[in-house]
Amino acid sequence: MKRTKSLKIYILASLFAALTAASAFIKLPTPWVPLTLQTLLVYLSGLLLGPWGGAMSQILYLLVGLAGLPVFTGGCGPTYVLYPTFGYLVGFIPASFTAGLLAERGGYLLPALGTLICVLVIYVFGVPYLYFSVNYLLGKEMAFLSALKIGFLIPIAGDIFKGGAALGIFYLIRMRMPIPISKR
Amino acid sequence: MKFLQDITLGQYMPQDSFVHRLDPRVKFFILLILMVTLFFIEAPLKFLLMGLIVFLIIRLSKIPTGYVLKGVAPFVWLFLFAACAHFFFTPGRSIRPFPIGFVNVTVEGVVNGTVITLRILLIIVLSSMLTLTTTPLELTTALKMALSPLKRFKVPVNDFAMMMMLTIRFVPILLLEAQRIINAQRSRGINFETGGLIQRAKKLVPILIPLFNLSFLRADELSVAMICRGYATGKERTSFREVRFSTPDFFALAAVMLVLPFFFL
Repeated sequence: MKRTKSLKIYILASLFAALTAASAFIKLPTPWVPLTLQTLLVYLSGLLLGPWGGAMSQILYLLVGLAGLPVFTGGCGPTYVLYPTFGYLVGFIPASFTAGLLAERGGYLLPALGTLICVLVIYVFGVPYLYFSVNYLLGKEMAFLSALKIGFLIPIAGDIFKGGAALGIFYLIRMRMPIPISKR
Repeated sequence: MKFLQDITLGQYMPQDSFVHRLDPRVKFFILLILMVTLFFIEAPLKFLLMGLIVFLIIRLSKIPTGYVLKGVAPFVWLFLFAACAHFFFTPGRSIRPFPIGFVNVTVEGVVNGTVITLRILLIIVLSSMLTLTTTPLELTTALKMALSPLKRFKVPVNDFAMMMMLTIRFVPILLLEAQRIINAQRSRGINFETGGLIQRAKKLVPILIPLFNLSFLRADELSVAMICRGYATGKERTSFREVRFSTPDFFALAAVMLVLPFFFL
């Protein structure tokens, strides 16, 4: 029985990696910049699969994208590490883990706190990577405040909105089955 | 949301060529060596030599050069950003008729911008060659072997390879499912193109909830099916897809090793 559960976690992690990949192509047509559902799935993978399942799914997403499947928005393959935005993808892993850790404890406040921290953790990894890749990889100076503005202040509103949406979906699903879903 | 037609799964282009037949681990290793080397070269002659190597790899793979360059298109903004940042903001000797007002172009800036752009271009083309000549499943095998030292830290490397292959298989299946769900909800009156932001967000629920339920059911069925067929997590298994180191791999490695010293003279 233990074997069945661990295998099920692995399969669910693969499914959520694939869902994250698929969601990168579903665009909400908004009057301003188009939003993708990608980060929504990142939050949900942590909330639904728990800390280790969520982190595993995002590691898989990263590996599959680097292996050449076009699952990243705007490119794929090993060269994606050159993209200034690659840091956000790396941040998906600890973000998902964090959300899962807090959501596991039940209630309504802790999952909400987990989702908020999840949103912020992605930027903790994304903005420094943006700063360093512009300064050292591209070899050009950029003030950290500029990186903060471009990489954090502009996109944060959309992500908080998606965090709220993920939380709502999480509550809906939790009514119907135990969380993490691998326990059912 | 006609995204299903837009996505082309994988970059692999099948050809009967020397490069395609190489062991994926060898290709992965050669790619890493050449990419690291690129970060150490600055002289024009060395860039020319590396360019010749890349061109030779393209010819050997029988993939049209235009097709390779098409893969570079998504990175054009990166080139422009890097080049302009150097052209206009590097202190040094100005090129006439600059400076004009606050706009200045310097010799050092042009040189640095060109070096950075060439470096990025060659890195992108090299890694494109890896994904163009190797299937994702072969790359998974190579990655699994590259990650095998992590076994001593109790990382489930074998299961990770299985999971990667599952993810690759699931992407088209889930896209089809999503498309089917969207069409079913459309036929029941939901219009995904109208309404404000909140309205559109609410319309995602009829897509995501059924998609998740289907995913969970599929996970249940797949785990039972795999266990019925004797799969056990964490165990070493034989592989239906074997990779072998052979003579062409030796030649490729030898060629790269022979040419490397020229970059460090």
